[in-house]
Amino acid sequence: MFILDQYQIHLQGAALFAPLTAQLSSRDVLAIQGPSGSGKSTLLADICGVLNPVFFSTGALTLNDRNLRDLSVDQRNVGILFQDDLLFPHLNVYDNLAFGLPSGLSRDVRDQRIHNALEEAGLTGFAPRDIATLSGGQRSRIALLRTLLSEPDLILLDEPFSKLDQQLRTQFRGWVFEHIAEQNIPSILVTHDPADIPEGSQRLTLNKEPANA
Amino acid sequence: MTSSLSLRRPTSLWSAILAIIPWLTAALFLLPIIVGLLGTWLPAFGYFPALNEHSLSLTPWRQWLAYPGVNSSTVKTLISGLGASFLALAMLLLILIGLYPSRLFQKIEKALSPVLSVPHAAFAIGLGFLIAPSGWLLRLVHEATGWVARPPVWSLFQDPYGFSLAVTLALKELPFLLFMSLAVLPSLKVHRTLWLMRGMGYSRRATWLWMLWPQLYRQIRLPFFAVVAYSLTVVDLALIAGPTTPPTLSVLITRLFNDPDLSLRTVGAAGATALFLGVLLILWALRIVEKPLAWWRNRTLRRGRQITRHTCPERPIAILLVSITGLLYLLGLVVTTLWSLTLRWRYPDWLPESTSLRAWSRITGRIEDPLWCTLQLAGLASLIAIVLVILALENEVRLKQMNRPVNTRRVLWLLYLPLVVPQVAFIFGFQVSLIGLRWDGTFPALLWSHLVFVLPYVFLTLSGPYRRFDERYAWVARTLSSGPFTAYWRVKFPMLLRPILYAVATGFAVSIAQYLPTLFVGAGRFSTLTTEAVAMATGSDRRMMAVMALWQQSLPLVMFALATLIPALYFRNRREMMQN
Repeated sequence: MFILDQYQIHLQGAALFAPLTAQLSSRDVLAIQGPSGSGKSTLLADICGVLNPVFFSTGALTLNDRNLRDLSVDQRNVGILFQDDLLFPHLNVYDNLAFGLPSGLSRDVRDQRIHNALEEAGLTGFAPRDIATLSGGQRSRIALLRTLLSEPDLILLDEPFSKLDQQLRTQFRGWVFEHIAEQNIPSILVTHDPADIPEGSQRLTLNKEPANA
Repeated sequence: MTSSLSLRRPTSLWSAILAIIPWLTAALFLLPIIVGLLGTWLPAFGYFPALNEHSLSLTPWRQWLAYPGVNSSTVKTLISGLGASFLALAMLLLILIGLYPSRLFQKIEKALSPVLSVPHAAFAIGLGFLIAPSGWLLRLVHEATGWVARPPVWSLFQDPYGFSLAVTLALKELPFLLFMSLAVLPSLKVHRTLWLMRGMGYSRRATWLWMLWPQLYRQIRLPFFAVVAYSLTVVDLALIAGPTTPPTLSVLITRLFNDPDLSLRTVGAAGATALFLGVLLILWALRIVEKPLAWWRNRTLRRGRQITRHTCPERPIAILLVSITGLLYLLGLVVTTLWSLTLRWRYPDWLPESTSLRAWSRITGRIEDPLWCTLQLAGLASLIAIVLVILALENEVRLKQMNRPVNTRRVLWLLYLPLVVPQVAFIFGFQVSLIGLRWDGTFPALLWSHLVFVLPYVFLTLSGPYRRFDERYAWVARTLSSGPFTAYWRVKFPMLLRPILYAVATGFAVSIAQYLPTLFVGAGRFSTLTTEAVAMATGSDRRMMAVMALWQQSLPLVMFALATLIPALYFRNRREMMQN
């Protein structure tokens, strides 16, 4: 369960947007829209734990009954996916995926999980490949697999479809939400394009707070 | 509201450490300069407690001005120093007009780092073997034409006016200026500008001269000033390729500092201070003269299109220039190798009569100590430098995240200080201060003196690629991994491995090339390949000189080769890591 309650981000004493409140159970999707500069990426940075210290946020921010502010980035179990796949160019597909796996797994378990993930993504046999040899669509899928393999409790999607061409986009979108749903976790999607938002999502729009507030 | 302020930061100790690093680094390379300058200025005005001189006076200055040969030295210094700087700048401009952008220029770019890694002394020794009266070039001419059966009495090398020193220096500084331009050139959008201006009837030359060059110059001003300061005050190269009676000012001053007659120390200090002021004056003049030049340029441009000739003789000239420069570097290396293998080699034979490995074996026993010392100094200095520089750059990332971005221009000025302040102007004062602390002639002090120059070069080499790193990779790595250090070590570090190794190699080469710091701070207790090579170059045994120069030249070359090969091997199956 992810909870935002009367949540706001402030910069130099001014709030970036009116207070947000939302509650996400597993499989819920929260779609956040707003003009550029309205604080969408700042919000994601705060949830991840890499918020620029000049900002500070107020209101409840909890994930599975843990106050996220008490936890460092790596303790939060929050995964993120950007519009660029940001696969590590010095690692092959296997090592990129293994990077997200919890430490302490035996080699067999690691191999098995990666093999399963690749198989499900229709990328069987891609493990030893150099990521530079993959197509854009394949890279995007690997990037999502990497995030999912790290077993996050919440996944953030920062315009993850905006760099894909139209055809690929529709396909990949369906695939992404299917896989996230399989993991039984909530997700937050930041997007410019209303078509990206799956049906039944909760929606929030970031609005500038009235000046007198 | 307070809850967000209690945001727990497990790395606050770490950020405190990071915050100190830039200050520590700056102190490390600025302190010797400041202390050294003061330690030179005071003796220049007669205050020299080491010799029981406690009263301020102008006597050292009077003695300096009256010292035999100072006037002639000054003329030679100006000829060689300014000549070299402007020659290098002119060659740079010619090459850019003629060849940028082009395929050939890309090839030049690739060949640049081995050329840059050649230490000054080794380059001058090779050049000497080539163009001395009995040098290889004349031997080759004889072989081809039968002319000059006897070595001429005139010499193109070590000429009394410093022309050969100017050319040698210019050839050595040209690659440096080219290298510094590489970072700026992409931002000038040269290709599109040339295209656009051509549409308006401006030739390639006119576009470069009136539009592109002024922009470029503004951005390589600091490296150019470093070249000017260096050329006016270089010692090791002037000892090998410069005039002798009297030598250039910096050599004269170095001799005064090392004269058995201790009273000449204060005269040397006055000379060093005078040279320092002279360099400052020249740099100031160069800065000032930009304004009328810009005014004149704007006035000319306002009058509209002037030059419409589209033929560009710069191209063949530039190709010739690049070929000659490249050939001199190459032939210098070849002839040095030949000399190192020579047993007998009479003029005008173009190849040695008999060869042997005697010089190579004779040098054992003489080379171990300097070699070991060089490796220790260069290895430790580049290692310390890379650690400090990486931490300082990480601190920039931290400050940027706190929305307090670092003023990189100001950082740049600080970094160029050790490169613009002449070594002779402060190294004596630094040595004297070390004596006061009883640190002179110790290895840590010597290492410190090398760090003064290694640190800025390592920073300059690494900062560009490091600052361009997409921090989102680090962000993703942290959300996926077990801690900030793992994330850094497994993602950011390997992704930046190539520029990091390149910076280490640069630091290594810079340390190896140091001459004055070893001479002064080492206090005669340490010798390196460079001090040995210079000592031999002023001697007469060409074979030993050649062997020492080859050793000196090969170490940085090996480092640059490693810095290229290691990532190439490590990432051989990672295509994205192979670019740049």
